[in-house]
Order: sequence, then C-alpha cells, then structure tokens
Amino acid sequence: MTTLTTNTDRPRQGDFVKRLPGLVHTLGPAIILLALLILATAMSDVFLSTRNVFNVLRQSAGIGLMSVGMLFVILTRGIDLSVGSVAALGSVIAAVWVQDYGTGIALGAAIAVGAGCGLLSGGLIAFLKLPPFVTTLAVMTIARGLALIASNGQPIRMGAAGEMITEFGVGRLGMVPYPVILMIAVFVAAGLVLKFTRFGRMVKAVGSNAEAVRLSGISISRYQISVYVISGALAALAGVVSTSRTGIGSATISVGAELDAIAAVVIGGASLLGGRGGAINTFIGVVILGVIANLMNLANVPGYHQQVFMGAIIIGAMLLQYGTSALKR
Amino acid sequence: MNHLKTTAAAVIATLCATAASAEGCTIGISMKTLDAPYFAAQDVAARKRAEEIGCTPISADAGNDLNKQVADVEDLVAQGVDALIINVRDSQGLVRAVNAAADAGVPVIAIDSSIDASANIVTLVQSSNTRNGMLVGQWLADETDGQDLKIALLSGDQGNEVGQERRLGVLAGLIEGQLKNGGKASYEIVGQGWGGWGNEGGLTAMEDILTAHPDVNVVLGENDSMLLGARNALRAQGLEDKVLLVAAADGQKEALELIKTGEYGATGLNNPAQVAATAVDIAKGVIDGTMTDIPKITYTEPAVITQQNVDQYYNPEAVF
Repeated sequence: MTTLTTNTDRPRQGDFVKRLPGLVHTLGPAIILLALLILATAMSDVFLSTRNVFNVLRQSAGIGLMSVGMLFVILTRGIDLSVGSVAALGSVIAAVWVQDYGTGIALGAAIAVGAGCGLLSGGLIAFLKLPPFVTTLAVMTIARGLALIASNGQPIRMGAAGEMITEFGVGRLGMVPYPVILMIAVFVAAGLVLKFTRFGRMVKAVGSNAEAVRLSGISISRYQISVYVISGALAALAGVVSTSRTGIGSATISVGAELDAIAAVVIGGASLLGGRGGAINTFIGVVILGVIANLMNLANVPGYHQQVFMGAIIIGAMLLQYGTSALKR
Repeated sequence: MNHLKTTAAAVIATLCATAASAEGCTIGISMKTLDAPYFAAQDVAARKRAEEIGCTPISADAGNDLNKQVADVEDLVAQGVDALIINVRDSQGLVRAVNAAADAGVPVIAIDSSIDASANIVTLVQSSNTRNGMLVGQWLADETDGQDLKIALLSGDQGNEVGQERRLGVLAGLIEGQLKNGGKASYEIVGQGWGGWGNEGGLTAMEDILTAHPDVNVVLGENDSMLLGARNALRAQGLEDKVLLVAAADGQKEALELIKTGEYGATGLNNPAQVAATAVDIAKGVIDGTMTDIPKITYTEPAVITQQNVDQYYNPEAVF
C-alpha cells in the first residue's frame, strides 16, 4: 500500500477499512491455511518434507473430489448427504466389475452408478420439490445398502485384474501422485466452469435468487439435477480412488465423509444459503482439513482428543469467516 | 486479525503441550478403533509398555475407517517411527500401506486381527483362540465329570472365523478331557443362539434357548459379554445356580469378579494388554537387532481363568 499524504487520502482509507471485512472473507481460508502451515512447520520438522506434503495431498484426494461436487450442490442452496455412501458404492462396483469386464467398463460403471444416485436425488428435489436434506439422507442409506448387497458385506479384493487401478493409487508422475493430479485437474475444471461458463453462472444464480431465474423464463430443474449428478459421479470417483489405494472395494469406507466434504466447502467460504463460493477456496478448505488431520498424527495428539481439536479448529475457521461478515453489517 | 492471532496462539499452546519429543526409539501404534474397551485397553497397554522400556509411543486411532488407517500408517512412517504396531481394520485393505512402510525400512508387527499373508510383517501377535479354547474345554470336562451335558451355545455372528475357532477349541478340549477322564465322550448342544458379541444380544438369545430347552445345564459363550447378558436371563428364571457358565474368551473384568465369587465357571484369557506388551517387546528387539528368526505368528501364553487362579488375573483398575 502506498500512502500519499494528500487530501484525497482520507476517503480512500475509509474505503479500505470498509472493504477490509470483505477482503478478509475472500482471503480468510488462505490466511487460516498459512497460519496452520506455520504452526505445523514449527511443531514437526518432518511436516514440510516432500514425502509428507504429498502424503497430505494424496490423503485429501477422496474428500477433495467429493468437495467439488458438494460445492456445486451448495451453490444451488442444496446439500448432498449421500456422497460418503455413494463413494462406498462406487468402490465396490469398480472392484467387482473390474474382475469380469476390465478396467474401462468398471470405471465407467462405477461413475455411472454414482451419477445415477445423483440423478435420483436431483430428480426428486427438482420435480417433486422434496427437501434436499431428507432426500439425500434417504439416498445415503440406499447407496450404503446397495454397496453392502453388491459386496455381500465382505471386502472385495480386485486381484490381478485391478492392476491398472492399483497402479493409479500408488504411481506418480514425476514426484506427484496420480490421485493428486486427478484432484487438482477436477478442481481446475470446476473453477473454469464456475467462472467462465453460462452453466457456472446459472448454478450460482439458482442458489442466490431462484425466483429471479424462474421469472426470467429459465427452468431451474435442469441445473438442480445437474449438480447432484456431478456430485454423485465425483463421489463414486472418490470411492474408486480409495480402492486404488487399498486394493479392495469396501462397503464400509467413507462413513461420515459427507461431513468432511461439507466442512471443506464451508471453511472455504461458501455459504450454505447458496450463491457464494469458489473452487480455489474450496480446495484450500480441503487442504486445511488434510493438514489438521496430518498434524494431529505428527504431533501425537491422542485419538480421542483429535476429534475435539478438529471441531475446535473448524469452529475457529468459521468464526473468522462469519465473524467478519457480521462486521460488515 | 486479532481473532486469528488469539486463535493461533491458543492452538499452538494446547497442541505443543501434547506434542511428544521423538528421541531414541519411537514406536508407532495404529489402532483400527478405540471405541470399544478391548481396543482402548490395548492402546493404553502398548503405550505404557513402550514407555517402560524407554521408547516413545505415538498412536493413531482410525475410527474404524479404512482410508483413515492407511493415512495414519503413512503419517507415522513420515514421522520417522522406528517400528510400527498395527491392529488392522481390514486384512486385505492395509496390505499395501503395510508393505510401503516395510519398504521404507519400518518393521511392522501386526496384533490381534489377522492380515493377509502377502503383507510384509515381522510377525502377527495373537492370543490363540484354539489353544485357549482347549484349556477351557478340558477344565469343563473335569468340572462336569460324570454328568450329562446339555449345552446352550452363544455365538457372536455368522461367518465369523474367530467365533468358530473359539467354540471348536472349547469343544475339542471338552472331548479330549472326557476321553482322558473316562475313555468316552458325550455331550449335547441343544441350540446355537446368535448374540452379536454384546450383553443385550446374549440376553435375548439365552431367553429364546431357555424357552425351548429349560433343562440346559451349561452355557458356552464365545465371549464374556454375551454370557454376562445370558446370566440375567437365567436369573430371571431362577436358574443361575443350576447352570454352569463357561466362556471361550476374553477375561473381562466383570466376568472375573463373578468367577471370584463362584457364580461364573471359567473363561479363556484373551488379554489385550498382554498382546500389546508382547508386540512392543518384539518391536524393541527388532529395532535393537537383538531379535531375529521371529516366527510369522506369535501366540501369547494360553490360559483358562478359574476360581483357583483368578486373583492372578484380576485387576480392579483394568480398563477392560
């Protein structure tokens, strides 16, 4: 900031003070992440090691993919509680199908089933006007049940047929693990769609003022359904990433993952009332959650305490977000 | 900005207080869950033993989440632990993470839950359900010599290998004991109830069996918890003095208290603390290079706990 000692200086400074809360709001997630990174570096000398940094990012890939879908849903003022269960279903479908039909079809089937779950939620919400919370809660138990049926409740081992999938889970391009590349690619795509396409602008518009969109003669159902389909497909993809890392399809993975995805999106500054939020800050939200979990392990925080710390840090992040927007008023 | 500073300062202060220094020998402990007394006791015992022998324990709780446990293993390895003790959530799903740890030069010792044979572990430390069961069965044969046995069997859940090992171990020991005592063997299992390993499940299953077979004189449980529940069903019908309670495992505190007063026959020793301590000792031995040629499976010493020896095992302070 250059300060000029002229008469025009005063109103400008006033402007800045007025804009400060908004600025903190936009940069809030980045500030929190920076603080966490400093804290983590101070507490553990292995935190910044290349190995650990990529560990954190790779561990975040699943939640990251789910968070992108969740961001689209939340932008329309919806919520998707089914993502954890859909991930489990995707993981099981991929592991079962890869043994009979090969990698390509297995991946396609997993993602299609995930998208199908989204279509079910989105259809019920858009056409029958059912509340998203309860609708996706129902789809959540359906998807978990289907995953248990498809796997018979047993972990499904892919064996040799799943070699390509497991290679994805352990492999790297240069230094960067494949799951991390996938996650970043999806975030970049989401960012571009939201910023530069009509679809992206409409998704935000549906969330911030559905009535205005409807009055201008545009059908909002299309956008409502699309976001749940995106969310379901990405959740199933997250399940496949889990399978690629562990080598098994399991119906019991990602229990409660929807809460992590929602937390990441909200820590990233998105509003649960719709219309506000972005891909970059959501990504930062995902990394914040990943760093916190990693830090707990590195700092040897006992298991039971971890959950309390995790919640406390999330509340701290939220205070920074919402505390500053309250200042604005 | 002040918000941030104070929040950060508070977080630093609290986190630093719990951060451990990593000098000398550091042992990572990855638990699949801490939400049951058995596993909580195991974690506590492993940490305690590690500290006793001069190591720094670092433990992580996966909360029954497979992906979280994979991440825990990676984090512990990144942190530079010298050995890793792991109670796996899934026998297949952790193989890759465990092998990656082994490739990074960290010896891995599995405890309790079996892990697939393709995992590169030093050893698997378990209590032997079969050998514990044999001892319990032999005790039962001695105790009921000359009686006609009508046994109600309380099992955990269908398709569970541990449950199968436990009941077959006891029945094998019973036959062996009867043959030794009288040259012939006979017993009747009047029914198999499924109690889901819990107190309440054991109670319900016992009520159902008693309705069909009020003349039961032995209840054999695959763990103490179900048997403790079954005891309430027996008491409700005034049968607690006529029926002998025998468990294949675990040596839970409440069961030991009843064994002491003679209201509960016997149980097999499946001590989470003993498994944990054995694993820590092996980890230390491997780190120091004093232990080589370790068998792929290490069984803890089997034992049957009865009124005669219960004082040796009863610890009023025990978590489990």
